[in-house]
Amino acid sequence: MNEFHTFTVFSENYPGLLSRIANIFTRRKINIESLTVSGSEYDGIHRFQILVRVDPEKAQKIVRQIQKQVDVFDAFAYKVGGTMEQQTQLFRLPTNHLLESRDMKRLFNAHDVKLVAVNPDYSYFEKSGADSETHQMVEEMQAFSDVEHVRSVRSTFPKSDAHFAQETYR
Amino acid sequence: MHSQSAPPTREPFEPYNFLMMETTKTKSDGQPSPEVKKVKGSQALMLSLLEEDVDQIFGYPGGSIMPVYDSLMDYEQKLRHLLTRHEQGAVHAAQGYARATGKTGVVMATSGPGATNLITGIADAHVDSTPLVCITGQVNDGMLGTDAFQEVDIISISAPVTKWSYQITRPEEIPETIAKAFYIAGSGRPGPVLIDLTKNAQFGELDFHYQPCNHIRSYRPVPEIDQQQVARAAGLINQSRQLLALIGQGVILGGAEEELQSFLEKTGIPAASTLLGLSALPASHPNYVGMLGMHGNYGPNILTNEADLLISIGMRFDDRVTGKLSSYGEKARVVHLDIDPAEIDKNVKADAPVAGDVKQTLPLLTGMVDSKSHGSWHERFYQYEKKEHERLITSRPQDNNLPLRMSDVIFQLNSREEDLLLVTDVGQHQMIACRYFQFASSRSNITSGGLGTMGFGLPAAVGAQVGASTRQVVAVVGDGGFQMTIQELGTIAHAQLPLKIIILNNSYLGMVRQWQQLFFKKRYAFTPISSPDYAKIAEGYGIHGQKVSLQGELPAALDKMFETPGPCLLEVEVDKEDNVFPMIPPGASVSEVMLEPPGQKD
Ligand SMILES: Cc1ncc(C[n+]2csc(CCOP(=O)(O)OP(=O)(O)O)c2C)c(N)n1
Ligand SMILES: [Mg+2]
Repeated sequence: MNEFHTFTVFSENYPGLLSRIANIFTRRKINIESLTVSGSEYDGIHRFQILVRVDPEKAQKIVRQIQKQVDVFDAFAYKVGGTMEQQTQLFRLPTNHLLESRDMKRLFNAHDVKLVAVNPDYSYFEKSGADSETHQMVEEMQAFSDVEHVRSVRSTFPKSDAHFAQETYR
Repeated sequence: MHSQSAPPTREPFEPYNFLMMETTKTKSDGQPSPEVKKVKGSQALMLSLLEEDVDQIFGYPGGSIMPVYDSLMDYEQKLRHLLTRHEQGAVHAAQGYARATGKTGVVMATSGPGATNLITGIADAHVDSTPLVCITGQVNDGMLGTDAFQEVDIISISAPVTKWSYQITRPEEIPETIAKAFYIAGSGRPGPVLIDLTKNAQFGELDFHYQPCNHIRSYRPVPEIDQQQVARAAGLINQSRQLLALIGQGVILGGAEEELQSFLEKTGIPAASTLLGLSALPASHPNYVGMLGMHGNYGPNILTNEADLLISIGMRFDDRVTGKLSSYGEKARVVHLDIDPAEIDKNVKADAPVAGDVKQTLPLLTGMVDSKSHGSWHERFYQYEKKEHERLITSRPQDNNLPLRMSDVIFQLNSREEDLLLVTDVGQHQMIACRYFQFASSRSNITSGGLGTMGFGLPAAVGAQVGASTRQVVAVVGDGGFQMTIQELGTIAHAQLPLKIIILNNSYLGMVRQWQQLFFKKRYAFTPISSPDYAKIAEGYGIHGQKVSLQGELPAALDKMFETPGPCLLEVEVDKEDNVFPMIPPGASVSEVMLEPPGQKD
């Protein structure tokens, strides 16, 4: 049974590595739901976060295939639920629509949405929270036209202590 | 210990006299003075290859790699270059060289089509764990992404089939990257590495100094041995009664042939081999019981499902070995020794996973296991072997006026004194040759396993003969596969390689025809294939050629071939619709291995 997993990968930052890691999923016809690459708390080491739906047993095999990449320090797969997750959603809408719509203001208040920036053309808002909360918010936004949104990847920490031990990689 | 007379060796041949005469205008003696530090990128590449003890390159020049080839001329005495007739030939030759010698094969090609022509060989090397460093030229870095002439994104194209790849765009990166490339290709589970070198990096200058690489911070080529798992494996071995060792290429790659013999001789465990594991253990070894898999021997396949313990040694439970997974090793627990942790539990779950280099883990096991002989269990293998031999070999009519079969040729080769190195292509002839050839020493079997690449045989034999210059290499190739890389006859003739080529011509893409016969109602869709007169083709290249079609003609033709110095080709016309048995039908279990087509069973 396929379940949501977040793969966390610590790697060098070489061009080409992104496609090598993506290939490991696409080769097995696993769709990548979201992917972020960023720096990590370890100097010079990058962190991939990849969200996919995959069978748990397959997830473990994929972890080993990722670990096998020369430029990868370590890789982990976490079942969603076994992790602390946060997702950020950024919205933009024409400022005049916002001023005209009480419903939208109400919705933003109800969901604890933060105003990020306003200019005469557009207003920008941000919603952070667990996956279900941001999803709910997006659902309700469907009622309004002219709202654009970008979702960032879930940021994930394992609740357990299985984690990358940098000192073993020197 | 089994006894085995030392194989006769020959003087190393000098295949390059001709080449060297062509290039007497070499600019320098190839010895840069040590104080010269500023060098061009292309020269830095030569110096780096020398630092890695490279003495042989297989390749093909072109626009984007011309500076490298220009520098190569200055080093030709030390870095010999063999010009193949196609880049696919170069990469297969490098594979053959690597597998015959244990060294890393080196390939060079130009950008664009030169680079893409390498892909089949790189994929083959990847799946068969062959160490290669492939160096491709690339357009200037300023032109990357502009669809420049002969620009392809070879880094992306090759990513899924390389162990590592890197594009060098600055000359200063050359020494360090080449050092890394060789370290990665040859360490741990070996594999192909591709280095793409832009033209500006070849022309540009750098201060050359070389530091060999033996550590990469993100890379752990050999896993740490878990002593508890070793103890657990030893416990399982001591408790079990019907054990079967499964030998893979890991034994050869790890140079653990002696460690394997010590383990087997102490425990008395019968040992069967995968296609790529062949020759790790001499075929004459008392513990050896034959080949595994779809076209392996009868006994080891059937008895896989009788065994109570399977000990996998440097093999990866390929589907051609396991047949239907759900009924594979039904009664067995599994000990799995492998250097690549990703292989453990991938296809078959291990009760005792022993990650590590078999060269280290096998002796640990040997130290902990009991001495036994397993006589009656061995006896069961012999009974099946007898049955297979009677059904498939001795029942065949032998008469000098009868047509030949593929196995006749292999048995004749076995009767020769010399410790031959066998290179095969892909198809029926491959399965027959590999299964019946009596391998006497390690690294005597070079064939395309995981990828099953037709066209591999002839060029791989070129590389094997170059690498193993004191041994006699024999290429056994089908009429289909031979026509895929027939152009390498040009390479063989040019270098005067003393290679012996046997074409087993059944006028069919035989292996596919066999499946059509068995599983597609004998509809022979596009499998009949015509051939040129191979002996004449050979003669056109200045290679000695012969053809035989009757049993009585074969011995003399083989004698003639082995007596004639230099390259020789022998076309053997064989039974057209002969089939390879034993066979595990696709989707069937190993224990359903058949000795003849269904329906013919008694
Ligand atoms: C490059 C490539 N194309 C197609 C195949 C599929 N294939 C496997 S065996 C075979 C027939 C080989 O014919 P031949 O070389 O005459 O050998 P035979 O089986 O007759 O001994 C084919 C077409 C392959 N393995 N490799
Ligand atoms: Mg054929």
